[in-house]
This record gives sequence, structure tokens and C-alpha cells, in this order.
Amino acid sequence: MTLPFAWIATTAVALAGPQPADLSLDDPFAWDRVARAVVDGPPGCRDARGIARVRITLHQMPDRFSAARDTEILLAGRVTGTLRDGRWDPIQVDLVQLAPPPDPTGEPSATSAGLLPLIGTRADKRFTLAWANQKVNLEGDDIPLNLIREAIDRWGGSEETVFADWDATRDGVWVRRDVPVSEGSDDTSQVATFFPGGGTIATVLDVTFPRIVHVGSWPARVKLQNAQMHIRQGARDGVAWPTLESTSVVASMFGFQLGIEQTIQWEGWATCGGTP
Amino acid sequence: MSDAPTVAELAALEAAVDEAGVVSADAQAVVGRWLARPTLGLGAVPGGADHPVWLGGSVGRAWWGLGDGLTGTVQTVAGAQAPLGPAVRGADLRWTTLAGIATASVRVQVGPEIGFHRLRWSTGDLNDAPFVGGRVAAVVDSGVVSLSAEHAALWCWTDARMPANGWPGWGDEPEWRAGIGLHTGLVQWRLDATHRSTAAGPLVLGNLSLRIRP
Repeated sequence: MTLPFAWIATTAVALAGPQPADLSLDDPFAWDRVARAVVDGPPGCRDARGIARVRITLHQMPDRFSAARDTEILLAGRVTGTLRDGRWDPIQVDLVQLAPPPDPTGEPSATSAGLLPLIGTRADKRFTLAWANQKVNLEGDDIPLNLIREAIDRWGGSEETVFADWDATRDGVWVRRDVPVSEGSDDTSQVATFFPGGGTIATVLDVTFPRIVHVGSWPARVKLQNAQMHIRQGARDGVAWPTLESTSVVASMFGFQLGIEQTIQWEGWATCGGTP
Repeated sequence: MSDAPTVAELAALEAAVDEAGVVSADAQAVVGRWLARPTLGLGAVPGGADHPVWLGGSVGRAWWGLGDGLTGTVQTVAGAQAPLGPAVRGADLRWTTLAGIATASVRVQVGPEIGFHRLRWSTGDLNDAPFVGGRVAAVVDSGVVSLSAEHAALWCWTDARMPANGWPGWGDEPEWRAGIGLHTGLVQWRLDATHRSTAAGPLVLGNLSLRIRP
């Protein structure tokens, strides 16, 4: 995305909730700057570990004579990596196929897969996608990849709208950034970030895209449906610690419909070289 | 060999997802697809004088929810079938819209149907007649084999045909259909038998059809 952005800012303040008197929502951009930093993860150098689950489901349609049929491939593995100031150096996961069960007479299959995490930026150019027992090597470009920044900031249009409002029910501040899915588009994606108590630590980040987004052109036209990304964080010692992230989408192409879901439960963010 | 997460760890991950209120795209998606089904049939006219081969097919669109458990489903399908050869002439045109609920293995649907029917054979005929009515369909599907049963209650809204002798409320020309399906990879084969009561006697038709099922 090219700077500078053409900003349109709106502040909406709910009147009914017990918003703290000293809490200012007059500058939604200040809130948004903090919200944008969520994807960088914890500050400094961190040795991360977690568990990843990747689920790919082929959805076959029902008709008058048959029920719907889902064929699921389930992969899981342990994630390890060093996150240095928001950049992975590197991130690694060996995914094991859990379903359908691998051939019991063969060697258990493990695939070194390139996860596309929501937290942190992948700096490596090459990565591998896992598909059952097959590997597909992809050549990445020179641009470091963070999935949210890629989908929102690089693909999205420049005319953004930022809201900050008090949620009296949940007792906190929601910062919502609406971004056109592409330059000039009327369809917008939204990044919603929640700050409990109006503090500086966000615990929730939800990215929702329009219900249907088309990518590419015929015949390689892909329909992305209900695409969404979620980050959940906890707080300790005044620092936010990612605990969970999830990316999912239903993709339709050439008559096939695939549900793709990647979930990572982050278990620890130890200081590099230190104890967890 | 990789150190795979344990069942307990994956259960904890699932619990964390639930607790965080994170939903997946699949759970929210309602998707739609076009469908097409060519059909080849062998029938019997009232009196059994002729056994025409029927050729036809149907096209339509289906929508269904991808979530786990009970989901909704809707489909609208237009079908046409006609006998081949000079001995029997006719046409069977239908437009059916069904809505219902489905689990992974059971579907129940109900909806309206309109149609047009004509039939002339060597020893008799059925007048051209438009029909309107409803259809109910139930399917039990193991994933490899499916069994289905349907009933259509159809009324002729003109005076073109006399109603068949039958129970009140089952339509002027009630129709029953039972079938078995076989899923082989991306192709779904279907064999079904239809019995339609008419004032001239029963029409019986066996159909073989297939659908590419990506």
C-alpha cells in the first residue's frame, strides 16, 4: 500500500456505558497504531512454542438423492521459532497427518510446513505447503510476509475508516478499521481490536472480510467465502502474550469447495536464551 | 519422525478455541453449487403395451450449510425427460424446489413442484396437462451408498385429465419414487424406480443417472 493513506476518521462514543472519565477516544488513530502492533507479538526476542492444527476439508454438495459429504485432512504439529522484534528467525513446524489415518505399515509422515502465522512476519523466501503426504514448494517474493498485513495493508485499498468506541457491555474499547478489499472497492474488510478497560493491551483482534471475495480472473478465479482471522492474547507483567490465533476460509475453484483452517495455540514466549 | 501433539493437547487446543469464541469459516458458510444430472430410463405405459426408453436430465442449484451437526439445505432443479422412438411420444417437464434439514447421513426435504406431462402410445394417451403440487424426499446416506424415498402429490389445475383413483389429498396423480445411489469417487450413480398413478393406469419408469460430484 502506498503512503500516505487517505484517512477518514470517525469517533463514536457510546453514552450509556461506564466509560472512565479520563479515557479519551478523540484520537482513534492513536488507538489504531497500538492495534496495528498486535501482529508484531511480544517485544524483544522471544523463543516461542505452540501447537498448530491445520484442517483441510473437501465439501461435496448434497442433492435430492444424497447427503453432503466432507472429506477431512487433519494435520497437527509443534511450532517452535524465534520471534525477534516482530520477525520470525525462523519459525518451524513439523505437521503430522492425523486424519485420515496414515498407512499403519508405513513410516509416520511428517511434513515440514510453512505456516502462515498471524503473529510475526516470516522473512524467509521459500516455504512449503503441506497437502496430505505431499509437499508443494513455493517460491516467495522478497516482501516479508505477515498474513494480516498482506491481506489488509498490501491488497486493500488506501481509503480507510477508523472508529474507536466504548463497549459498555464488555467494559473496554473497540478499535475498528474498515479497509476496502482492493483499491476503489465498495466492499470492506474490518480489523476489530479490543482493549479491556481502555488499557493499552489488546486481548482480541478479529479480522473479517466480506462474505464473498473473488481473487484472480477466469479460469483461475477463486471465490473466498467467510474469510476470517482471529488473535487472542493474555496479559502478564504489563505485556501482551498471544495465546491463540486462527485463520479460516472456504475457497471455491473449478467446482471444488475447500474449507481451510489453521489454528495455533501459543504455549510460551520465553526470553531468548532464558527460561520460559 | 516428528513429535506429534497428544490427543489431550489437541483437546486443550479445541477447548481454547471454544473458550475464545473463535469460529471458523466452515461453521458460518452457506455455499451454493450448480448441479447437472443426465438421465437414461426404461419405462412402461399403462397396459404395458410399450416399453419406451426415456432420455433427459436435470439442472439446478443447491445451497447448504457447512457447519457441523444439523444444517439447512435448499435446492431448485428443473428437469425434462422424453421417450425415444416413434411408438411412444410425450414429455415430462418439472421444476422442483425443496428445502429441509440435513445431518451427515440423513436428509429430509419438502417443497413445491410444478410440471407438464403428456404421453401418447400405441393403444392410448394421456392428455397434455399442467400439474402443481408438492414433494417430500428423505435420504439415508452412508457416504458410499444412499437410499432415498420420495412422494409427490400432483394436481392438474385444468380439466385435461381425470384424477387417478387414490386416497384424497394424495393428488390427482400421486407419484412414488425409491432409489439407491452409489458414490464412486467424484461420480455419483443413481438407480431409481418411479410409480405414477393415472386415470389410464400406472406409469412405471426406471432411471439410471449420474452426477459429477466435485
